[in-house]
Amino acid sequence: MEKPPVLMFDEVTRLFAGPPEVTALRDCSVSIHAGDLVTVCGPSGSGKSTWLSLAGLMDRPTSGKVTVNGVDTTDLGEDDRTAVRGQWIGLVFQSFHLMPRRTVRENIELAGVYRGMRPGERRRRALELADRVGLGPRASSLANTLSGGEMQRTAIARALMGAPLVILCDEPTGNLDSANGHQVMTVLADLNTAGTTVVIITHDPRIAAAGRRRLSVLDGVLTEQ
Amino acid sequence: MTFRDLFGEVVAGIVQRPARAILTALGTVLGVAVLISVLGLTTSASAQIGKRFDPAVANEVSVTSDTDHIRAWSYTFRPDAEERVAALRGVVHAGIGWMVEGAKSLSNLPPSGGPRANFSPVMAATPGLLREAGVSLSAGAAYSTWAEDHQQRLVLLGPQVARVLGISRVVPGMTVWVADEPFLVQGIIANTERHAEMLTAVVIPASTARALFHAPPSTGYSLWAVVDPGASGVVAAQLANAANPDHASSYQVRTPPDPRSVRNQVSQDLNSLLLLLAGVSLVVGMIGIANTTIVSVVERTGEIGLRRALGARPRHIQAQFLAEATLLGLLGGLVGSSIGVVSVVVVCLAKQWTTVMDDRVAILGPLLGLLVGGIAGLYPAWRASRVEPLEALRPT
Repeated sequence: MEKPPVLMFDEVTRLFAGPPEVTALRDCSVSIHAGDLVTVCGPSGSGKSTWLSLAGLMDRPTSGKVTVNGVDTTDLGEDDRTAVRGQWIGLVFQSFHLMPRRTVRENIELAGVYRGMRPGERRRRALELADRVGLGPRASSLANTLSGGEMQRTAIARALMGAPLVILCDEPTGNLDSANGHQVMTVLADLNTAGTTVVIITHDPRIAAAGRRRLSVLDGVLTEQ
Repeated sequence: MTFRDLFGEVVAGIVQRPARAILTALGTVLGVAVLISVLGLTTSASAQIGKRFDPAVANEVSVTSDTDHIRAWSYTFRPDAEERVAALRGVVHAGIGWMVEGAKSLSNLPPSGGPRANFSPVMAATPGLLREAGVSLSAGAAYSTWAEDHQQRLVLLGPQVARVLGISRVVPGMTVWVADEPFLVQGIIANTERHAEMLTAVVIPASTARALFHAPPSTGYSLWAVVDPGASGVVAAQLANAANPDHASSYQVRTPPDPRSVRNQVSQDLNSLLLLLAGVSLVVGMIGIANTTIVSVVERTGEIGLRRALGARPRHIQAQFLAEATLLGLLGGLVGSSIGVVSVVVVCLAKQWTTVMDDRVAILGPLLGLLVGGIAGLYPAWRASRVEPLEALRPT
């Protein structure tokens, strides 16, 4: 039996009641499959963040349906949506959102707390992931002593903590200089090569060019290039 | 999320923001410290009030005849009234006495020696009353029952009177003239436990006073009895009949205010006032925790959004913030209790009081802190649980 898409948008529209009423995303249909490296590109206000929040089950569509690993999330309650997100989706944010007074390992472990992982298992897995993103030697460093690139790599490791089906990255290089941005993109590409499905939201065409599938959003309309 | 994980997150949340944690708990610390201090000081102070009341007046009862009857020397006590009262169960000492009407002239010279310049009150007192009053002498000795029975002209000088007359010691044959009547100086009073009027008077045997100064007593023709602790009520009920059953209804019996009721009244007044103050402090502490926790929720919106994005359910967030506020309240209660107990001990040491505190106070403080923190954390925790994971997407 064929595996369902990791993520599927079916005629998804998201309206924000005004005034003025804004259609942030219009009749969007797209499928993300296991192993994809997808970039979603568009200028500020085009609707790409709305697309990400819907894909990450942090928002609900006005119409249409979002399916994650074959599960229609339309009628799921908040707890079930949270469970689906925690189980299958990893999120990486532009602002990193690390706990500044916790170590790299502790920050990575946090994602395991809500998945019911045991402390020993969390620790082992966090160290493994820190190593994987090139932060093994800095696993005991406090997050507020890291460079921007290291912070984002920590955030990527945290997103991988629960072995998600897909990681959604919101402008992962947005707060980084080009060297650090390059490092982060390399990590993401390596993860994809190893089998992780990666979706990158960006307004930077150079980052978008790194995707094997490139989507663009303009005025709420998603198209595949 | 297990309880262990929750506890770990809560402790980390507090430890990683120590200044905020201290400020948040400060209100509870102050409230609980005031409360414990109030409770400790009022119980300690009550014990002191009890000590002050008990030995002074609480063990003396008296019976007095109506003044009009006394002026006619009617309705007096039975001749053996003092012995009858002394025989009552609970009575330690009993005696009769009164102030002789009008200040009498006083001199250490005979009437031929010149005009009298000094005048002094004269108090008639049986030997039993000297014992009842707890008279201590700086010189000489108290007069005896024999002297009372035989109307001896003996006198005890109050210390102020002795000073006026220039008498500091008692030598055999030393004589003073009271209302121009010669009296042998028997002793000089140093102090009394009761009947302070003796200190400014000359005290003579009751039988002598009645024989020499036949005029009726001006005030206080009374029979006093000092009783065992707690016996005042029982003795008072029998006192009038013991003094003279024929005229018992015309006597006035005086009992001291019950020290326990006085103490309780004072304690209640103090307690209610100071507990109100402590309650206000606790409410202020609660508002402080609630306010700081709400600010914390606002400041940590990104963190809460992140936790939600990582899989935390609203109840996880709610539990975390509620537990943080409760733990801070508990810590505030513990610190406040410690400060309160130390304050009570220090004050008691300074006042030379015995520290009296209920053991349960040690548990009460932290429990109150826990309760205050828990209540204060309810609303902020609910607000925190309403934060959407979308907040994590907003740039910081």
